[in-house]
Amino acid sequence: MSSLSSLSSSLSKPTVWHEFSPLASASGAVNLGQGFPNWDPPGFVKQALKDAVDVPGPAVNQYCRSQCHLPLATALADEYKARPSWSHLPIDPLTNIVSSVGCTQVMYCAFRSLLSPGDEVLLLEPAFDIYASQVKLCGGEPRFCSLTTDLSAPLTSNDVFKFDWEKLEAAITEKTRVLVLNTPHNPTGKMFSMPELSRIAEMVEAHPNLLVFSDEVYEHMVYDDASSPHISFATLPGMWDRTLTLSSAGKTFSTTGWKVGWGVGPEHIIKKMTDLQNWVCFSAPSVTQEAIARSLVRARQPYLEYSSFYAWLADDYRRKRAILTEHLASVGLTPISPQGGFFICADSSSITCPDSVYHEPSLSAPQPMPRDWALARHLTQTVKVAAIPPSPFYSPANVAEASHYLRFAFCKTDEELEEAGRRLREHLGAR
Amino acid sequence: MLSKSLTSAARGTLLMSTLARSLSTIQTAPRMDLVSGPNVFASFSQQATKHGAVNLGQGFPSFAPPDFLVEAAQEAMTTPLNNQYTRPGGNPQLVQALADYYSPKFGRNLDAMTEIATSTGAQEGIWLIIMALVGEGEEVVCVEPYFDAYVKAAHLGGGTITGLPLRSTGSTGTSADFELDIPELEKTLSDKSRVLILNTPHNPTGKVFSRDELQAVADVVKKYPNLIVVADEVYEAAVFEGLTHERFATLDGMWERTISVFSAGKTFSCTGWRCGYMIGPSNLITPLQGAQGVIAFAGVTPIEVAVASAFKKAEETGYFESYAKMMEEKRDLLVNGLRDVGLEPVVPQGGYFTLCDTSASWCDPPAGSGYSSPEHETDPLWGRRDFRVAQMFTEDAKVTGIPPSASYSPHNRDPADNLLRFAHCKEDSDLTEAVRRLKEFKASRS
Repeated sequence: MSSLSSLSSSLSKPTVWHEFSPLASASGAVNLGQGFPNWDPPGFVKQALKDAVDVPGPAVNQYCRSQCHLPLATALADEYKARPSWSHLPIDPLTNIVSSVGCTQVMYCAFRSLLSPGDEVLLLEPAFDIYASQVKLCGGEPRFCSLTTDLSAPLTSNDVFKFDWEKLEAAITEKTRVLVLNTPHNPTGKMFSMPELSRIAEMVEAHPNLLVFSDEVYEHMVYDDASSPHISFATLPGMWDRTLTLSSAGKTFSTTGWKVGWGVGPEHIIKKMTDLQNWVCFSAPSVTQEAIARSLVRARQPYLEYSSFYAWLADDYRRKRAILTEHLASVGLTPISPQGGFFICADSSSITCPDSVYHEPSLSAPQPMPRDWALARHLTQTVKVAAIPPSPFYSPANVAEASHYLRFAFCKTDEELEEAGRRLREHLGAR
Repeated sequence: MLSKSLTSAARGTLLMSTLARSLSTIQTAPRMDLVSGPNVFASFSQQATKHGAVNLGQGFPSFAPPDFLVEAAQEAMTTPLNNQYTRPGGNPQLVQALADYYSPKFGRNLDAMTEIATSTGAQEGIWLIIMALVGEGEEVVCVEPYFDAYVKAAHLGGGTITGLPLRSTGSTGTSADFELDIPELEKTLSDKSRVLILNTPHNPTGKVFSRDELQAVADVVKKYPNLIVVADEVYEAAVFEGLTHERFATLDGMWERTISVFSAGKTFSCTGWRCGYMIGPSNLITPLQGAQGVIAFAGVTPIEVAVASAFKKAEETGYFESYAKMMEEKRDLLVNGLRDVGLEPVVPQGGYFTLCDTSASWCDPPAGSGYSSPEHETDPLWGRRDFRVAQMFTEDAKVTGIPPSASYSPHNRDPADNLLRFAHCKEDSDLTEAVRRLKEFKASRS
């Protein structure tokens, strides 16, 4: 039973999400923790799912094409080809696109089909916690390289969080099979610039066995196109053949529960992922894929007074970023303004956490409980504003780097954001 | 390094073509070559479309899900949080609805939070089970013919597969003829056996295992305290002839070691929705919840909420009774039609599928004829008689069935040579049209 007991006990271990969602709920907290919106998907998106289940013929309600429901693959190919930076790349809906159960399962299929035991996967910390878990489950070895933090810089994520190039260069070895990039970045909101990505491309060129998985789920939450545009690594010279670009419908269309994610890449990567996905889940849900296929087409059309749904989305989130930034700053939770994504990392150094919280039983905290974890629990339970501690985004050795930060989500209604501000000021006092 | 005097675009092109040559042999995870061939179900579905064939191949209904399920989904998405992440391991409404429905059937008070796990399709459930339970070199014993997802998942996980054949005595012309040989089970199981996979109602034979038959298996299984039993019961709603669907987990002493697997997709005719679930003791189920949390994070929220509502509606409206009756009538329609054509059916006691005998000479692919699907060159499986018959039927008769030899271990495939699997989970018009086309094809070959 040894294989069962060791793997199953690690799989049974609760994660930060298992702890904070119920805690927020039980405390009646405004949940600025987990990254999901608390509003309806846009009307055209909901209508698309209503229509998809209701199609006169049963076709969409049954198994669809395993690799990717064809209308979705077509809509995605058209979407990517319409982007100027992608227009030189060959995107064939039949061979360059795969869909799976959310971006999470796209990433899993990529690791599972391409990693051999002992292969290293380099993650840039802080990194979304699922990457390391998936790598380990697939027999790979996660390796970590931290972004550096410079709080003396202007307090935006692009300025505060940077690469240590020597460390990064040293971290890529002949055993490194995959480098995971995430831009816009969770949790910091940093967007990797052309000079940064070009420098990474040089390292990739120097390591012929290295692939890059670029997680771009926050690609439409971009607040300054001119100075900080979203750049897909796959579009850099020579990088198409080396790169899997991942994204999903959930963040863009406020449908995190619909589980439609996709990968775009060269045929040799996509085929291996598809070969595997056949046997993991056979296909992602057909009805939500159909709904997203229709939504992708509609999203390019004028929406409200904007040129497209995407333009409206970015403007709405930019507005919410401003609201939450002001509330956090007003209580001394110094916000590092993100250029992308819908999270704000705030410096919590000026906030005190009662000692007692450190000794509360926790399903998933490292022991001893790190400062950011305790502070997040305190805010959730006592201030009744839930935030996520960034320590789960770090490898065990580097957990201390998270100690003075908290991650807040602003993908919440204005009312929720205002209420959060009110509760923060009530408990922590205006500074 | 490349010359900096080239433009960056030219450098990019040169590098891309260099890499394209080397990446055509991209390094993959171990054993990926075992799955580089096509999925037989997907391949025949594609071919059915291409040739305009009536698709009685892959196990999905050609009729729509019940109205109350569609309405439940449309209703579910009107609550904002039903479109956002749900609980990894199973939406609380769904697992509670399942606990309510299945507790009486299992004769126990099921704990919704720890004894039930959802997956995006029962097939993903099989993947989670194998991933969580089967390590490198460990043995999975599968009753065969089997649903080949078990075997592919086990192979990819580094497990070894041992097939345990159902053999036909051929006396009743029904799926009851297929029997397990208990002495053979005794010889097959050992301390090295990690998982035994049972499937009732059985795909592809349609056998519905009796309680006595399952008890005989349990009596052997008892000797192996480390053996886990996976009871794949996805076709539980389609049981005919007034038979009872028997649950291995309800036999004495078997609850503690059994994971029962179910499919809302099969029960509610919505195979594309991807909603499956597993029931068992918490020490076997909580690792599956954790595994789902890593590979998918969670299931599809509006779908899980809709299925929760559907279970309640189904009980109120007598859906399960009317569904079983409907499926039995479809079985009868196909069975009678196949008999008329001279494709002697093995009448299934349950499930979605009917096997039939293709040994008549008009079913022989003509000597020297191609009938090679595109995959023929790479995998000898595709050159076997049942594959060539299936190909010929798809291309020329324009009726698609699934060749069963993919469902047997390589050394046990001979019984499949003269068999073809047809799905009866289809609109009556599809079934009658398929029979009409087969009659026409037969006439053309006499």
